[in-house]
Amino acid sequence: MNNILKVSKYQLRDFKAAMIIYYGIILAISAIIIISYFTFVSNPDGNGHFSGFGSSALIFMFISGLNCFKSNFKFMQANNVSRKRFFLANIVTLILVSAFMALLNSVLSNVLSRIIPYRDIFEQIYQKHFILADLTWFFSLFTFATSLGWFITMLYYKCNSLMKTIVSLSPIFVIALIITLNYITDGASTRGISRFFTSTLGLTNNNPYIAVLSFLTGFVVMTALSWLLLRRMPIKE
Amino acid sequence: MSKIEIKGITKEYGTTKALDNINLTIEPNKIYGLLGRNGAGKTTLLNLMTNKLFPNSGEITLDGQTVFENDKALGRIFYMMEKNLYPLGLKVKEIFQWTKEYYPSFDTKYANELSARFGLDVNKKIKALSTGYSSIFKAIAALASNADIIIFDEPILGLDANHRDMFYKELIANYSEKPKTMIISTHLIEEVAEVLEEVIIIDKGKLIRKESVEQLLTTAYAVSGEASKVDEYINGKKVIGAETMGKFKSVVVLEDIHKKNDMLAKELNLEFAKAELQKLFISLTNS
Repeated sequence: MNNILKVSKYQLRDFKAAMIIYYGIILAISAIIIISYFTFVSNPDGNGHFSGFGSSALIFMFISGLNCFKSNFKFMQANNVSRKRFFLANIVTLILVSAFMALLNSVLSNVLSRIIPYRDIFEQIYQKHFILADLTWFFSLFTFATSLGWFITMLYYKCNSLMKTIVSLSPIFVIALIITLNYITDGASTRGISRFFTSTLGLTNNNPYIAVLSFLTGFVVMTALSWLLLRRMPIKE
Repeated sequence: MSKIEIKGITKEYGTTKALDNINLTIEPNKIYGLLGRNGAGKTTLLNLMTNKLFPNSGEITLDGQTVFENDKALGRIFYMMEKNLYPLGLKVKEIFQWTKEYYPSFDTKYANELSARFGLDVNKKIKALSTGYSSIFKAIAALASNADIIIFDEPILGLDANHRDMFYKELIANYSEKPKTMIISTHLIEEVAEVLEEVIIIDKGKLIRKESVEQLLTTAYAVSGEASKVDEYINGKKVIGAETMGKFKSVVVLEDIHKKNDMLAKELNLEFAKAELQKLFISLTNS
């Protein structure tokens, strides 16, 4: 375990710099929003509200996942660290960073909502505010987002030029397929996809823990697929 | 003990066979030279020995334990790769600190001392290092790692003559201080010949020689003197290199040094000398 944590320690160092910059920007934006709100908003009791930090944290985590493979993998190979150890260390890192980001996001949301009319994405979706659900929901979402980013960057690293082009174009094919299927089935496919997301996100009975379970399942699937890519991964330029 | 055993290793890239059924034992505490022409399979073999690549067939063990995905075995090997795998944004001293995390015996003091001696600024970022200093940095990390087995792939790439000389001297000093297995893969054979105990020669993916430098050098010898008399001496013998300067000629004869004809040489007023490793290497890999 100690050996795995040594690898995680290096990976966390990589995340640390990015997180400091990210939260520096977020705090600056928060300060501007608060000052603007008290300076320019004439009707503080209106229906409008601020939001978006949860979504930006989600994007940050996805991009961090995209960026946390190539350089780290090469450095660990330079130090003769096995792929298995690197993989396990990465899981530890992703979980720790996701937990920390979820906590910061929750603290920020709670502080902001006490000063200005702020509602984070969780509150907007589930129309409720419950700290444990909020924390676990963001934690599981972040683990899924980083693992997805990690998987995508590994897929690109492993692919040759032709495969990279195919992977890059695949979203267009998927969208075209959905549109075609929708046309053929008279909208049944879109309704099916919509039902899938409604049920996996727990929107049917407004239960965020179903979404937590779905995100964690996604995380497990992404990490399993990542291992299949990593286990025989060669060094590339 | 740090015995590496390579058993039946074959590595293919598509339809190209980079290594073909390599069987080899690397004994502990010896300095090996891994020689071969471009594309012979040297780096592939080193990458396989350090879990960077996986073979199509065969096994590589260190003291009986597989090296593939085995952190215990891998932690005893330090591999200075020709290409740079270090993060470009980190400073040299930061890399030394991190290397110590993965090689607990890494001697930071020694690494800093060597850096000062070679004129390497440890506060420089990796991306700011020239080709020569990048090689120096990686070689210092390798020497200071204190690993049981240190592998150098083209360690003198981009180094000037002074730095190359310093590197060879430090290599010997390091080995004398604490004997370990060292494997040096390089194209500058003549320079490294003095340092090597054994050579492993690979050609077109096949192992063609593995023996001591001393033994290998007994398979040929140089003879020199007046050109016409040298020609008379080498009549019917296999020559693997010749140099002529006016009437003077020097040739390398591929023949057991013990079979050289001293009487004829004396009669023709010729002189014998040791063959150069490089000439032998060219002869062995020129088919």
